[in-house]
Amino acid sequence: MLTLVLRDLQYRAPRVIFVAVLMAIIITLLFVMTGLVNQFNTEPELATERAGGTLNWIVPDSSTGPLSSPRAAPPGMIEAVDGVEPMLIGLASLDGARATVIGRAELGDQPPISDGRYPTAAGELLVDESFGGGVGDTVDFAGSQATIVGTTTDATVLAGVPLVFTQLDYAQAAIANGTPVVTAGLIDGAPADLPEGLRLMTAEEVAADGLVPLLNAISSVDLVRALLWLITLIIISAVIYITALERTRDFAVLKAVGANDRSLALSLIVQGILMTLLAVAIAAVLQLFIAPLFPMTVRVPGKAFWQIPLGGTIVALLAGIAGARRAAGTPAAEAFE
Amino acid sequence: MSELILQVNDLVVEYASDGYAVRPLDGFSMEARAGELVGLLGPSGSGKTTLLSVLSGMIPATAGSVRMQELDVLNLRSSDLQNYRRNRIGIVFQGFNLIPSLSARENVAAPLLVAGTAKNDALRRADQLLEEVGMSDRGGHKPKQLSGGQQQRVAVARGLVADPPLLLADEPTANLDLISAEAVISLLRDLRAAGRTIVISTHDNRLLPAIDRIVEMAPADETATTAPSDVQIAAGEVLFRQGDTSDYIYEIVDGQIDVVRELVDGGEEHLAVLGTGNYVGELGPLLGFPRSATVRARTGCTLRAQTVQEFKLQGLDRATAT
Repeated sequence: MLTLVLRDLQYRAPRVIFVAVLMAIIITLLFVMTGLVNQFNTEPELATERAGGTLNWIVPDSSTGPLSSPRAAPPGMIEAVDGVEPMLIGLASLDGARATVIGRAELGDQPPISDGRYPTAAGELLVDESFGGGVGDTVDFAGSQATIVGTTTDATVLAGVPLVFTQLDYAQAAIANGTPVVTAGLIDGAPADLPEGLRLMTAEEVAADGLVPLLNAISSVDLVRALLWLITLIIISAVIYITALERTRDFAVLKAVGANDRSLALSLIVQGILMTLLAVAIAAVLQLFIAPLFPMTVRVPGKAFWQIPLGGTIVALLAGIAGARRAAGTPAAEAFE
Repeated sequence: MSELILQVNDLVVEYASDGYAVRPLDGFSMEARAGELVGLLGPSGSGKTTLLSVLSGMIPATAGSVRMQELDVLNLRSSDLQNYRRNRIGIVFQGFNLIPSLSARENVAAPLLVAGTAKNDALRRADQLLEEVGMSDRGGHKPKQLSGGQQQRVAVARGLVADPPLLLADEPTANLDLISAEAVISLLRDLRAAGRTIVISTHDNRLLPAIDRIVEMAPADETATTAPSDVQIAAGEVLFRQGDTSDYIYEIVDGQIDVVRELVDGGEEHLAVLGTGNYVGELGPLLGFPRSATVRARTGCTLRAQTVQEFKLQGLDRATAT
C-alpha cells in the first residue's frame, strides 16, 4: 500500500511541493516561536548565574528580586552581614541604549569571559556580546566615557537588555552620584543573623522572579504558536480532503479489487503525515536563516526537533480524519459508473 | 458438461431514486460454466451493470441468490467479501479505471499490493500477465501514455492478476476503436479457451461471434409484429407494473385508468388519470426502458395494444390527416 501512497505523492508532486513549502514557512515560524519562548524561559536563569553564580542573594524586603526590581537597602545594612559581597544593580544608558548595570565588589570568577578580561579599575566594563561592542571600544556609560575590557554571553534580562558588569565603586560613582548605594548582596549559604528589612533568596528564586515580567510575552507567543498549529491543521486537512475527493474513482477501483476501508483511510493519513514531515524537514533548515533576523537571541531547543515533527504527525493524523472517512465511505460500485 | 461456476436465481434488486422504487433486476436468473464466455445483452438501463455490481458483491440484492462455486455471494461477511473480490473474481471496467499515478505494471499489481503481497512478488506476477496480454513492452508506461486499447488490455491483466476463476467485464469494447476492440475480443477468446469463465455486459455486436451463451437482459418482444389487439381489464386490475419490461403502447378506447408510481416505503404516488383517446405506456417501448410507472384500471377499461412500429405508423397517419 505504501507504494500506492508514494506514487500518488509523486503524481501530485507540484501540489505536494507547494503545500509542503507553504506549511514549511508556518512551521519555520513555529520553530522560531519555540526558540523565543525557550529564550524567554532560560534568560533569567542564565542572567542570575552570570550575575551571581549559584550563590544566595540578600535583598531588601521592598524588592521582589534583585534583577527585576532593584531597591536601595538602608545604608550599611547589607554590608554589615557576615560574608556578604555587596552589589549595586541599576539601569544605565550604554551608548544611548538601555542596559542593566551589575556593580560587584569582587569580579573574578563570574561571569565567564568570552573575550578580554574582568574590569579591575574605574571606567572599565564587561558587557554582554549582544550589545555589539568589542574589547577596547570606548562607550558612553551613564554620561561618562568608559572602556570595554571584556565580553560575556547570555547575560541579558527582560528579553534582551544587556548586562554590564563593573566594579562596585565605579558603578556607584556612575549611576548613584557617588553615594555608596547597595541593592543586593551575594552570600555563600545562609547568614547566621539577617537584619530586619532584608531577606534571603536562592538563585532559583531570583531566576523565577526574573521570569515574572516575561510571563505575558510568553503567553502571547504560546497563543501565536497554537494559532500556527491550527493553520497547519487547516491546510493539511483541506489538502487531504481535496485529494480524497479527486481520488474517489481510485478508491472505488481499489475497493473493487479487494482493498479494505481501513487501509484506504490509512493511506490518506500516511500521505498527510509524509507531507507534514517533509514540511518540517524544510522548516528545520529554513529556521537557521530566519532566526538570526530576530532582534533578540532565538535559541531553538534540541527537543523542538522531535516535538515539532511529533506535533506535526498528530496534527496530520487529526487533519486526515475527514478525508479518510470520505475515502473509506466511497462505494466500490462507483468504479462501474 | 463443464463445472457450474456461477448460478443466479430469481435475483431482485430494488433501490430508491428520488423517493421512487426502481427495480433494474426483477426475478433475473442465469448461469455460467467453466470456460464459457457469457454475454449480457440489453440496452442502457436494462440492469447489466447492476447485475455485475451484484455479482462482484458491491451492491446488495433485495431477493434471490448468487452462488459462485460453493460461495453464497449475497450472504458473505465483509472480510469474506474482500477475499472474494481479491481471489475469486476479476473485474474489467468500461472506463478502464486504471489508477493514473501508477505505471501499467503497478496497476496490474495493485490488487496484490492491497492484499499485502510483497512488492517484488506482485510486480513479477504483473510482468507475467502483461506478457500474456501482449503489453510487456509497456509495463513502465503511465495510463495516459497508453491508447484506449492498451489501457483495456492492462485492465484485463489486472483483472486476472489473482488468477480468478471468473472474470467480469463491463462493456469492455465500448470506448475502443475497431482495431483496439478486435484485440480485446481476441484476448477474451484466448482467456476463454484457457478455461476461464467470463461474463461480459455489452451492446457491441462485434462481440456476438465470440459469445457462447447470450443472456438477454431485456427480452425481445415476441409479439412485436402482431396486429393491434383490444385488451379488457376490470376496475382495479393492473395493466402493467413499474419496472416491467416495456412491450406495447396502449390507446384507451373506453374507460379510465390511474397512473401511479411505487414509492420506496411501499406506498404509491398518484400521477394522472387518463381517459378515452389517451395513450399510455409509450415512453418505455420507444426508448427501450422498463415501465417507469404502474397503470391500473380506474373503471372497467378497453385498451388497444399496439407495437412501437404501429404506433409510429399511426402517428404518421395522424400527421398526414392534419
